[in-house]
Amino acid sequence: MNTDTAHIVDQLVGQAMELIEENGNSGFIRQARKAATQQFRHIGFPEAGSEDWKYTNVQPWLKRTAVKEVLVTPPVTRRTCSEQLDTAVRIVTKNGKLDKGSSSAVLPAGLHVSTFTDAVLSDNEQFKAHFGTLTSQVEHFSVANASLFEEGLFVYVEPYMESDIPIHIIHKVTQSVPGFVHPRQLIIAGGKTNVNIVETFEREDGTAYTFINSMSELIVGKQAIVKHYLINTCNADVASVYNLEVQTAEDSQYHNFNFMFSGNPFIRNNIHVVMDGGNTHTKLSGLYISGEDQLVDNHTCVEHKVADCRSDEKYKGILHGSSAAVFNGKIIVHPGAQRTTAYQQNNNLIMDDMATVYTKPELQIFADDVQCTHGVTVGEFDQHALFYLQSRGIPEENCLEILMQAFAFDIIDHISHKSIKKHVAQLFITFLKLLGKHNKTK
Amino acid sequence: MDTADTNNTLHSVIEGNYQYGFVTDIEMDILPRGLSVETVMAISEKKNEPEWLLKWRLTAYRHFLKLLETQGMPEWQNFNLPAIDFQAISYYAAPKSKPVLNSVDEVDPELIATFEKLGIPLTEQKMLSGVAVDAVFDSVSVATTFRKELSKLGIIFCSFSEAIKEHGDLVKKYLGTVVPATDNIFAALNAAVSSDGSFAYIPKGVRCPMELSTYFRINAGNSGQFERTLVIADEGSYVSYLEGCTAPQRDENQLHAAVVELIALSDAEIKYSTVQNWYPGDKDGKGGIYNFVTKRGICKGNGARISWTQVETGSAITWKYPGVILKGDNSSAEFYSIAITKNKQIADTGTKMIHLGKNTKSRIISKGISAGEGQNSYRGLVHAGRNAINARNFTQCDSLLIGSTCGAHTFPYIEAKNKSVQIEHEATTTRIGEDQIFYLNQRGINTEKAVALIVNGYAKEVLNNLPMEFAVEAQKLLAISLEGSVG
Amino acid sequence: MLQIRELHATVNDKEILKGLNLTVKPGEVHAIMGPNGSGKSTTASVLSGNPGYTVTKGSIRFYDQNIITLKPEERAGEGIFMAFQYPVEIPGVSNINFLRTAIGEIRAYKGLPPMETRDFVKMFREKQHLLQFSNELAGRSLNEGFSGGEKKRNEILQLAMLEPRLAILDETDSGLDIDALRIVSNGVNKLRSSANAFVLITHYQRLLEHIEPDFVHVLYKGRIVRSGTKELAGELEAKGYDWLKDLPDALTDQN
Repeated sequence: MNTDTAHIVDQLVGQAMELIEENGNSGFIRQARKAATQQFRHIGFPEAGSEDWKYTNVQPWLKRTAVKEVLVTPPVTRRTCSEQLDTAVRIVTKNGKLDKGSSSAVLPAGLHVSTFTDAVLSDNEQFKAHFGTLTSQVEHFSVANASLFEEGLFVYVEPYMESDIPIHIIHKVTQSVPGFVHPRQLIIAGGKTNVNIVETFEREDGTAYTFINSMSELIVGKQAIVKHYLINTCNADVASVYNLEVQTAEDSQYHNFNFMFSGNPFIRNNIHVVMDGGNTHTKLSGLYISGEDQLVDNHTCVEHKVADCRSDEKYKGILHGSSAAVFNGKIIVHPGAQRTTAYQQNNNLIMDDMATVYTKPELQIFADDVQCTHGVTVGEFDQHALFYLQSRGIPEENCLEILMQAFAFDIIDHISHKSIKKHVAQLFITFLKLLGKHNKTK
Repeated sequence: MDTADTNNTLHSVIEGNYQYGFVTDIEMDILPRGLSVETVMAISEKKNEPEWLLKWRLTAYRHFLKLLETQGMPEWQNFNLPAIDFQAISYYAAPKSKPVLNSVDEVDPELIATFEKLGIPLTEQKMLSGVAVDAVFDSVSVATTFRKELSKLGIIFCSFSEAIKEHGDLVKKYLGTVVPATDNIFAALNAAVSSDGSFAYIPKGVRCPMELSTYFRINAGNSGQFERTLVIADEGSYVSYLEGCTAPQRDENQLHAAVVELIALSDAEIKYSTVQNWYPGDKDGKGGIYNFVTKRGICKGNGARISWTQVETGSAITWKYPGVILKGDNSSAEFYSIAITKNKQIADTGTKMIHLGKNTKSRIISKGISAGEGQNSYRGLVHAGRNAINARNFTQCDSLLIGSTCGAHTFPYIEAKNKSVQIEHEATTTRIGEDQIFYLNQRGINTEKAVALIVNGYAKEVLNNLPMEFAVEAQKLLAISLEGSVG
Repeated sequence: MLQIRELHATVNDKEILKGLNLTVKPGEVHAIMGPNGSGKSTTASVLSGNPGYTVTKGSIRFYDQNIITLKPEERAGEGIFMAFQYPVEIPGVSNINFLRTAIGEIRAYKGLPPMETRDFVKMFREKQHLLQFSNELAGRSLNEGFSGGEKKRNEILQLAMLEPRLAILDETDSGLDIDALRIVSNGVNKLRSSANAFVLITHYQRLLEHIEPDFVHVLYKGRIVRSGTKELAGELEAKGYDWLKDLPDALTDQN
């Protein structure tokens, strides 16, 4: 328990107690909240220097929630680039609450979207069966979310639903005084579904400093194929922690893309996938671009619980300015998880001398019939390539842009969905150009 | 070295158990169990130490207490560290016959016999040619060979106690400069109670003509061993150093908390090799040595080179991360490791490469082999600081798993703080393929020999880095019983 | 030397060999041909004692000894050698060291003293010369990073060094270009003698243009359905294997 932030924890526990007292929460949600609050009171926020937070000091971002500013003008240098994803089912939440007015009026058959409250009121069996089953008891921010979420978003994809139209969940935050929001989601993809889920985070103009602490539970059913895209393009004064808990059933495929093209100063993602059924395949692809004094921290953990599963992970980062990137990729192969194949790669391109990379690819293997490899590289772009391009008459600035694109190319190229790929590629290029402009004015 | 020889040795060890488990019956001077200011003072007094050293010890002791109180034992590891009762250990045990330092002939015959049994002949006529040995028995050094020959070149090679008496200035100048007494709880304990160890100094421009070697033997029960080794290579000098170690088979766990400090000045080179074969405990994990050592070198001057090679086969728990601080520009460091765990052994080992100077290079080759219920972890740090312009690191970290009940883990920490660094880390996990075994079977080689051959091949890159002169030692390195762990 | 009688064998509970009969005498070269899946490689695996294969019925006698119960290394000691279709890579183990170990073990099995290093080196140089095997390959790790052709040549070098009484070549010709095929074949021809025998397992007739067999057998659905002399191979080349489908079931299927 961190004593420095004890007063913030106290205050939050107070808020949680109010939520517990409030009406409208059914028995099991109330019980879960009570338990989480008790746990949160016990563990609080992470201590600086604890193993999972070794390189990330979250204290300043927490403390900032207590500074009572009315409005914060985003520094000019903070970048923003939001592009519309064409043809998508839009589901909009505002501070974690479903905003029906801004969401698509008509949902495709087989897709059900509601608030947690409505799911409880309609006595939804799926909701009852899966709510809270994946939440962590040890991850500080997951526990905090489980204690403090005000409303949740429940997305249920019926078995056999196949759709090419992306399900786009837009998380908007807006508030006039600094503070936390705790968006929470439960997404269930039934058996044999095939869907693309896109999540983006947006901060409305004029919003005060916000600490977004999101948590999602995602259940991937038998033989389902779920492609899940997290796109963080938050500009300005937002700190963002995203806790994702995924459980995959046999013969399923889960592919998570995690794009960080944002101006917000602090990002932490905890992505945890448990492969719970045989013959499942998990892919994690990440791309982070950081600049100025940003801190981008990705902690991923893939658990091979049973035999005959496969995981592939590739995270790439481009670091500018005095930014820092943390990557901690853990692969756990449990006893009995024979014939496991696990692959992990983390590549970092450092563009400026003040940038820092901390990376830790971690393997914990308790079975012998496994093929696990991981690799890490840290370095500068290829000077020969730069010279080659320059010798063909391309100005240095453009060369660097080309080299960065070349470096990140394979992550974006992995997206099989055409319009999502186009969207991400556009975001990436716009973002690089903004960065380039910013670097020039420096 | 010839792989066929190691192969035979491995095979012989597959058949047998731990070969060095005997106890020497010799009259001992043993301090009563327990740790206190008095213990620290008594050790210092027995060794007739100067006051500065006693003060240093007491500071370390106080730091140890403070760490124990405020932080307790380390908790970052991925295994349960058994409780250690520091009051149940005797911190000083020495053979009663007074060690004679100038002529090996006067050493107690029982001790000579003990070391001979371990394959370390100390008598003049039997000495290993080309190897100078410092033999440490429990808490004291009992014999150092080839001293005269070495001293002609200005090389100092003696026990730590003697170095304090005769080369106090050198010891005072360098002791604790690489591994401070405050480094960690075991380093603090070592500084407080270490009673002996080895000391070597190679003068400017001298290439040490023979391998220097320390052989450590724990004999007494309920005692710990806390030796301290200090090797200083002055500008442009070269030395190759090897340590070996064994202990009797006892049901209780014994603590070994050593500290090794290496200092390489400009253009000097130190090669430090370890063949660690402490008693590993029995097949149920009863007994065995807790091997918690702190080893670190510093490339202090420009162009200095340090390489660590280790073969870790013994101990119930091994916990060591021989590191190098690459302070001098253009300095380089290497770490080659084989760690084998079987039964219930735990090895948690790796290295720390701290790049501070410009154009510094490091290379890490780690090969873990786990069998039975053994757990093997590579834990390492590669750090390149802001000013470590053009720092380079390459790490290869492989695990070989034998049987489905063992574990192999890697925890590599990589920290890069400037854009000119290049760090590459690769790790793979493999097991011995049934097809490989069948292939060798078909050529007339039985399964156990086939496994030995494959393991040898797997470890070759590290074995090749051991000094030739230590063929005998090196052969012990694969002293592992793979019996029963091969299906 | 070798009598196989009514041999039935399974892999993963699937019966592959269904009553195989074969007799090989010293000095003979037999070719076993047949379409994919007929049981050619299974025959080689069963003869060499691959633990993945189970003999359910029948007998294999080698010099009047039942070898079904022998371990693979004991069969090797008896003088049975298999050149693998896919030789395995073993990193870090040098070719030379591996061969010394294998020769030592086989000699020990026969009750012979270890070979003197000098004799070993001499023998190695001779065989290396015989098979045009480069020094560079000899010094490398066992099959590690070898091309397909180099691996197959290494198999033949091992054959030469271990001097077996019976050598089974499992699809040794697959993946070889014409030059490598010639080198391998020349090697085998040089190693042929009245004291040893070869069983060549192959899909194509091409190898038999270089190594002339005394007998050719056609394996189909786990049994030998035709035997003849080398002319049979030419016939197969011309006709392919499709005609086998027209054979009466009684000849191919016992069930």
